[in-house]
Amino acid sequence: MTAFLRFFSVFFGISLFTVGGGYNMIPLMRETLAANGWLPAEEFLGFLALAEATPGPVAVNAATLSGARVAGLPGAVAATLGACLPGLVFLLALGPFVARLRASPRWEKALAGLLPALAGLLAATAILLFPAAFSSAGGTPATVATAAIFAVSLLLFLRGAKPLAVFALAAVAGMAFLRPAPAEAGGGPAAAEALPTLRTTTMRIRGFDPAQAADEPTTRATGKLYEGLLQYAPYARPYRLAPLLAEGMPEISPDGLTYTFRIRPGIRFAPDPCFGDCADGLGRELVARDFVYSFKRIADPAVASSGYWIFRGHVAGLDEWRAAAARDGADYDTPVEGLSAPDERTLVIRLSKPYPQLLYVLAMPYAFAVPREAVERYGDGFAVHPVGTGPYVLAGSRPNHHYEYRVSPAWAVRNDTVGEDAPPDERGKKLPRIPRIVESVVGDGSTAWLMFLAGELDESDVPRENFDSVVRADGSLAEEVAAKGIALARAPSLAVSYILFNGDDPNLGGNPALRKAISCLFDFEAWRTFQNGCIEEAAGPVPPIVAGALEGPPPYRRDLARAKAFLAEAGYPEGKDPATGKRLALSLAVGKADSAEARQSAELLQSFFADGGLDLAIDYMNWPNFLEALQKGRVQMAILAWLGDYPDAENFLQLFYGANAGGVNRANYRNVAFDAVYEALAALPPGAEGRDGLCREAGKIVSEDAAWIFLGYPTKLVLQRTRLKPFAPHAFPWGQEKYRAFVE
Amino acid sequence: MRPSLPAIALSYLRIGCGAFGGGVASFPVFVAELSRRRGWLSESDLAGDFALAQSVPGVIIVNFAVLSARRLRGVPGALLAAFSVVLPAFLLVLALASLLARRFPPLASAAVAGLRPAVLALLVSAAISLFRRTPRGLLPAALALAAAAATLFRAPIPLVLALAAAAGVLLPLRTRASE
Repeated sequence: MTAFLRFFSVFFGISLFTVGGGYNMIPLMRETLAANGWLPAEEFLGFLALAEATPGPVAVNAATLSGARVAGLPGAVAATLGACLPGLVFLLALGPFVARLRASPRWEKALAGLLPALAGLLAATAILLFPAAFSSAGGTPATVATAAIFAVSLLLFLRGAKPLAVFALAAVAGMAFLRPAPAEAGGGPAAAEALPTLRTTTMRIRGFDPAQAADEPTTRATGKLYEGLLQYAPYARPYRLAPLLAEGMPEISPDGLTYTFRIRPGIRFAPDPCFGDCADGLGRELVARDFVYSFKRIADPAVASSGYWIFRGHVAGLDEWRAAAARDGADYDTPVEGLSAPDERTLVIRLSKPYPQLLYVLAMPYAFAVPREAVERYGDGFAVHPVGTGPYVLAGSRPNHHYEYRVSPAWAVRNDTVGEDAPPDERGKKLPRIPRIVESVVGDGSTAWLMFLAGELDESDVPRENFDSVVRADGSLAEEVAAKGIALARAPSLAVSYILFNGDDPNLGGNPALRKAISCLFDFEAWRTFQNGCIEEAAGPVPPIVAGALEGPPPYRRDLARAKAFLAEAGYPEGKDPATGKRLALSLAVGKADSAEARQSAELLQSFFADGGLDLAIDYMNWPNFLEALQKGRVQMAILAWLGDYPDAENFLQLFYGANAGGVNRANYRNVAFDAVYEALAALPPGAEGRDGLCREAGKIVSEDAAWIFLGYPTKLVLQRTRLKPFAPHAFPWGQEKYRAFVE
Repeated sequence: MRPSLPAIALSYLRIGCGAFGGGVASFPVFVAELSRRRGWLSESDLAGDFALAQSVPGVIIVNFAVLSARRLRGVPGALLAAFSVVLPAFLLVLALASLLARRFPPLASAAVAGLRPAVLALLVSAAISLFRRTPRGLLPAALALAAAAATLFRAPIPLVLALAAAAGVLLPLRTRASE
């Protein structure tokens, strides 16, 4: 009986809050059933096909099926009643009103407006259903048959034929002419469907220009289409750079200022009209000049690249070229001292001061090679007309729906193979290994999860709300999920999450004791539980997979007595402001206002502050407003994470460097002692003697000064279909799709 | 003459058997049965009910059945119609579900592939038929186009219909046949 009631109430609720009929209810039903653990989404999709094949309200049919499946006949009755009742009750209650409405002379007039509008509505519904009617048709004969059924039915209906009779005929005709054919060989969309395809998700991509590759979807997209001099060896741990368009690692002068790269011969851009006619139909060959051009382009103020920081202050003459370009417009033919191509195969980068991270930034999408012909030909349209040397080309896209990538024709002349860092049986395989990638644009995680379960995606994150049903307490994959052909991959991510204290805030900036008090209120164990165990305790700013990270316990752990002592020292005994006698009120800015997870985490943090007698107001903002508030220093505290740009401790420690305040030092933290150590370590190349020690020293300063609340180092869980060979998630995944492979 | 309850049950059972393709597509099926076959209600009466059915919460077909049958025989008629219109699908779905045991055979997919264009044709014919009932002229044509565009761009249907009704009240429009 309880099952009956629960089912009834769920479907009653869905129906009550849906106006405009079945198709609006279906997504809600799918999610509710899956979220309650009653019915996996893929089974519901199967039911939907059946519900469409039977007459009557589609949503009610789907409800009936789900009810029957979960709780037998009572379930079916409960679901059906629940779905039908709201409208029934509503209309019966409104009965007198409806009667009066119909009797009024105005209703007659209103009908005169409603009739043409309904005609329009019906016609538009037909248009909306049109693709579905014709998509089930594969190939020309089926399309003709579908069109014929449509035409004959229309003729019959216009002559007043009874719907039931026509539908019977149409169903028979369908069975005779529209039997799904086995996949055909040859060209056309049917063949594309047959290509082995990696199916993943992405978000809407504004453009494919490497100069604007700041966010994850864009870096991943540009990484398929374009390439740089270097890349991360995909299998190597700890992370290691390897040559990509360069023949080998560069020759570095003893003073650390001159880097000489040899460019690989025979690298071709994808075919494009911007190159004119090449004899073999491919694009132009890549030359050293392409990098000179592409790096200048990052510096061009008119391009407004978010990535100029990778060269700023380091490449000789580039800042001056940028300043001149800002004044007079960019002239790409004006030489820059630090960027030269003495011949087609040689690229020389000269630095104005040592920049040990240069090699890391050269592996970033900002430093990918773009052809000048394409940029000049397509202008603003270049962003949506990518032309690169990458393993894939954009074969189709529907913004907000999907992006399709296929192997670049230019890779027919390349012989890139899986390298020595791979397991032995993978080495030497020709790249790319999967010929087609389709990335669906999926806005919300629960839809992506349903698609993954339904077998429509090859990879998924573990959704928070379903975490317990997917990952067991010991961290292994639940058997029901594993049985679906799904495997779990786990990797530490190169990130630290934190709450910043704005150094310019009068309460927090000059009051380390207050920061320490707050750090002692933070309850890492509760936080880890909330994060489903996917976070490690942070001893400092540098994640442990990077050389120079701190070891051992953090200086401030949850300790209410200690917090109390620090509060007294800070001038707020018992959390009260002596000036007003009230509890000290602080505010925390949270971006991603629309995410339930962000809200729950903020509420958890509020409870930590309350344990110390402090009030914490949460200021929810959308992401752009949040960034703006940070930039203008209008926040007191803010919750953030830093994803490393490259696996080097310096990249994490720069977040505290005084000269970076207002920039990456979002906390506006200033500490002379720290700055001195940072400057010493930043001058040394990674791996230099004593550098790791300096990194630890710098990390210790900020962690003991409670510059942030160090929330932890996130770890990443990824679910992969077992039809794919296992592939450990990489913090710098751009360009690595070419290594993915299916199990033979 | 008021239709008898058994006659109502029979008619709505027939509608329930023929309403393929969901709520919006059910309109012509209602018209075929209640207006053309039985002569109980006019097409424009039904159009008004159809507009209301889409503007309140719940399932369109059920709402539509309640509204139309209430005119025929009050509340008992409405309850009977709601029950009858859902019953065929309910039984059929349960029977099919146990028969097919969650696997959808190719033959059934083929039948659905045949049904889909027929549902399209039914919608188009209904649109044509409704449009024929409105007077010629720029205003009705503009209203039809505007409603079609609003539907295509996924505007909320109740809002579109409310605006159309308001246009009918405020603008000089007339139905061609008042019956």
